[in-house]
Amino acid sequence: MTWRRLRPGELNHEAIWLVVSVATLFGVWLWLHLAYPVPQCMFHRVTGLACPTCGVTRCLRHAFHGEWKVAAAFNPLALIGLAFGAGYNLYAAAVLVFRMPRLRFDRLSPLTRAGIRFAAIATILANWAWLLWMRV
Amino acid sequence: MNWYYALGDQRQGPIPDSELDALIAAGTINEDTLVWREGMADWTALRIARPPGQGAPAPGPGQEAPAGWIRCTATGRYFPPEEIVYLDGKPYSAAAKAAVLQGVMQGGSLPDQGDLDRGGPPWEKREQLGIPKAAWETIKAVLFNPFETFDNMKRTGGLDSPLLYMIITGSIGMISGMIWNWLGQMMFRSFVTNPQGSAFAFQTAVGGGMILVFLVVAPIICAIRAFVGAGILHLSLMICGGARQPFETTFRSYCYCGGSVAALQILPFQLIPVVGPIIAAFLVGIWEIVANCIGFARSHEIGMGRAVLAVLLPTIVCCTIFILILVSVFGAVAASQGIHH
Repeated sequence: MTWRRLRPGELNHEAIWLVVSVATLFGVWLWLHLAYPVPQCMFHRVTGLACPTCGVTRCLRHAFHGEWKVAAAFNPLALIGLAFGAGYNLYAAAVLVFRMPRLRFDRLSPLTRAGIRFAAIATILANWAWLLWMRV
Repeated sequence: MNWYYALGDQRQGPIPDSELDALIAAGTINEDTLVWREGMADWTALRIARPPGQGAPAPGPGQEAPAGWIRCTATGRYFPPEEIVYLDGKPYSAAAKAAVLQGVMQGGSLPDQGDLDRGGPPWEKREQLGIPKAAWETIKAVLFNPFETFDNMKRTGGLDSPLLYMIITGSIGMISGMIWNWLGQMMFRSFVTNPQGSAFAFQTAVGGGMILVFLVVAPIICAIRAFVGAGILHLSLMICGGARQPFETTFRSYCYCGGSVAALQILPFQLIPVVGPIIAAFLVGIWEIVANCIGFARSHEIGMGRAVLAVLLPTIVCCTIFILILVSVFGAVAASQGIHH
């Protein structure tokens, strides 16, 4: 993990993802605000069990109203993702405005990569287990 | 030429260079492991028999580059991360650095040997071909000749060119689909309601108005979709251990697939009564999955199985478990029918 300046020709990830995430969040907020239909989960309708992404819409709906505890109960990983996204956007805005060095992971050993990969899979499975246990 | 290597007291092999690189990357052997191959007088440590800095060759079709290794932009060969330096944001092997810098100091540009044989798809040559012809040739190439197209796709060169392609062809496809859907619904309603009635006129006007709104909104949706879709699939590739190239490569592959497949909606499927929209959805959906799998396998130089897993992972995590269960149930039913007979 290093903090460094952008290299010539390197993608400006901070600018790209700041714009994309703000536009996406605005789109989702608008969609929910206008009460447009949201896709139904076939897995939940047929089996009565939650799929790994069940509750995301309800989580976002409550999060947009500042009801964090209720939002977390519907899908903790979605709320963590939202918080991570907000944190990343703050970081991206700061480095863009103040022209600061960027956080980059240029060198990750295969072992670290594998660790991150398995941690991600374990997090998704743990979240799914929570959703099943809570009967979301 | 094949290698033999010592593991404990046992001689292992013979294995080709690519497998030797895979064993190094996996940590099974290291630079001190004794190796031998035809022509050598005696068993020697790997670092002497094959000095570092040579890297691994680019994998052939169906083969994978060693896990975690990075492709040298100058030579196209793969190296462990500690043997890579970055010049102008691009990875070069430490061994190639001196020659690369010397070339630059003599007035040359940074070499891109690995991508010299990758100049496609035709959209990248739109200045010579013209935009309509370049778009048409790219759509044909991605849909009907995806292996060769993604073998030749430029993996670097910025995001603007594939993004423009996605916005143009994706928007045309989206708006065409809406127009056919609108016409199909008008035809259907004219049979079941009074075409002279105010309800019919209102619904027709609303449909037409939506198309006009989408003339403005469609390019924005296509642009956001390009970044969100490519971002999710790059994360998926990382989870599956298949992200051998940077996000830029995933983005380029995703845009050329998505834009080409979206253009299929120019065909008037929605005018076919009842089943038309279903046919369109399945055709576009399945074609896009297949094109993405081939695109990622060839541009990231990973196995097809890993590419398929990466493309399907977001869908599996969401709702496709339902389909897997259905397939299992049908399979069990079919098997039980077989037993009864």
